[in-house]
Amino acid sequence: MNKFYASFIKEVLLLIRDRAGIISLFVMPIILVFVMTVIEDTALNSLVDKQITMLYSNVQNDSLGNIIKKGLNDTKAFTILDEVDGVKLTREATKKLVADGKYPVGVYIPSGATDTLKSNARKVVLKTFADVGLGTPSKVTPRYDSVIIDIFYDPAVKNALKAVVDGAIAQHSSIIVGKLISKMYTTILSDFLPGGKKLVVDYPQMISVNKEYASSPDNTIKPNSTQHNVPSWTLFAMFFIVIPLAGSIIQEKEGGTYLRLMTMPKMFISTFFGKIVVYIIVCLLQVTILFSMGVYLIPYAGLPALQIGTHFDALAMVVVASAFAAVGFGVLMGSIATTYQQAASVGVIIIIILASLGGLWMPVYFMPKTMQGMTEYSPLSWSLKSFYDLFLRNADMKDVLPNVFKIMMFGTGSFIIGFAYKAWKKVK
Amino acid sequence: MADNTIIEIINLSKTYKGSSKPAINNISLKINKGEVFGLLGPNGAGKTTTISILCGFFEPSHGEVYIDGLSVTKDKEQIKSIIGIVPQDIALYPTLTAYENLQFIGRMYGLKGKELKSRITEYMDLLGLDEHTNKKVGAFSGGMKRRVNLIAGLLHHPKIVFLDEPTVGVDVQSRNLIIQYLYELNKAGTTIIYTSHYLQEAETLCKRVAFIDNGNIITLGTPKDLVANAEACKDLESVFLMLTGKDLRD
Repeated sequence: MNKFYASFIKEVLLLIRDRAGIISLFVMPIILVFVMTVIEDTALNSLVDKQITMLYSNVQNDSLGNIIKKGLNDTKAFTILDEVDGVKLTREATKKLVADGKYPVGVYIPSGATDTLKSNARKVVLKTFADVGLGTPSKVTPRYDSVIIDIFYDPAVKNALKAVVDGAIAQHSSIIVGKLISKMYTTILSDFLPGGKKLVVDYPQMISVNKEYASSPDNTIKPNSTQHNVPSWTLFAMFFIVIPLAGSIIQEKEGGTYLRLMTMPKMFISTFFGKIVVYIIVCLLQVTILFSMGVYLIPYAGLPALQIGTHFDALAMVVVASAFAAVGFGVLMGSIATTYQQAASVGVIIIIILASLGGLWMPVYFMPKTMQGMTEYSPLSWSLKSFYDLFLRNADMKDVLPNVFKIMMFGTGSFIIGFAYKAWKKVK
Repeated sequence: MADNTIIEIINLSKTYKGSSKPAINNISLKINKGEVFGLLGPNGAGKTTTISILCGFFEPSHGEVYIDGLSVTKDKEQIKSIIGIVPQDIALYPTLTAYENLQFIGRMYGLKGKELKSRITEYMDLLGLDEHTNKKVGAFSGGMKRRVNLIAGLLHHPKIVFLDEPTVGVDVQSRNLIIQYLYELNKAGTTIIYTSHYLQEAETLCKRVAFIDNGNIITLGTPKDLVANAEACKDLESVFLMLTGKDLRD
């Protein structure tokens, strides 16, 4: 115990006197988590949540145009402009402003659109009645004049935004067409009713949509930039422990202290346990600081607070397992690398690759299908998935156990390979 | 093993993986209790490899080594508690103070409390470092670092001390103090195995020396006998040059 205590104290002293190490372990991650959360909040919102500015040209104040505009406004997904610099938008002006990259999307409603639609609806209804012997029979198939609504896109606009605009306009157009045809049926049917009676059809709301997140405890936790970035970059920072940890191991090898340590009795377990415990505590401190920042500080930047779920026992288990894996990886790099530069550069590149594959840089669902399959092989992905499960899906201990097992296996494997390599080098 | 023998090396060889040439080649040697034994040779001769095997840092390819009757391959942990090593590199943590370094090393050898503190104070006094106990080692001069490095190898009162170039790169005053202290240490019964490129130093300090070159022991004896038996050689350095040649070594 005395040896473990000696090693523990030595590692603590070395760490707290390494200013660069302290900055890379605590200060940089705080900045990284904050900056990435704010930046990605903007990026994610531009795709999904934030209002899209849309030019809307409805020069003749056509009622179809007005109804579509109201429908788009009601979605709260768009900021609709029908004039720019006090000038009403024409088709050409709308197209040019979008082509110049000043606006992402423009919509043009042609003149007489409502009349054309009404005429088409009437033709549809009359033909239907004529086909069953009501009204004046017609042998000629009526000609329908199509209403063409123009949508102009900036080439840089993402497909997700196009889908939102296309869907919204198609949805509201269909509703209007449906209503027009229905109204036309009731009007024309009323002509066949005796005594000048009018057919009145009351359409109740037959379908309503209930939206909720499938598995959070109070259905209020939404996947957002905070929920993604805080755990992601915390994991990234934890694995960055490779730099000071591998550096410490390599400096001992290079400086001769390793030789001295190896000639001390029963040093291996006490020395390495002392080192490992200190760095696991560092990882736990990182998580405490960064998650606290997510919960208490991030909201001051106008972002949602980090929700850490309700299963704190499972959360503690995921955090400890992730810390164990990060420290194991640091020991592996410190054992295999021969110089500090090698450990720092190779270690960091491996972490960046594992972080990319693990969905830390961007959520997995943004990745191509082929890359999504690769996430299964990153320990950072196992940790991140566990955090997602705990924070967004109200998972408990048994739900995260399979991923925790994989994380622990990675950590154990790293330690074994690291120690085996050291032993092999000694025999060699 | 004879009663007076503390280290016995029997047909020891070491070939590093990937190398066709052995670093040490079938050497045999006995070192007596209380002896100051010099292991001398040019760069790459096999001195550090030999010491590394004796300390249990490397496994031998062939042969046996016994230290105080214990096998270096089978009784490593017991051997570690009776040996001390002073490596050529400064094996200390530069951001820790001299006291913190020695406290860590002492604790690793099982020392604690007042005993550890008094030993650190005693050694720091003896080697003229008492005013620098709480200064960081990184701020020390080369000579001061060497002296702390020496203390670190002696703190647990080992029976046998391995000194790998303990005076390299230090000023005359520090070297003199270290050598004086090694005399005192040897007088108290500690066996010293010593390597150095300072042959004059070895000549005055060592009771016996072995010249090692290309992994083989090429001669063994007291410095006085080696000089006397070599024609036209006035000191150990000229014997050394005669036996190992004047060609530069990598």
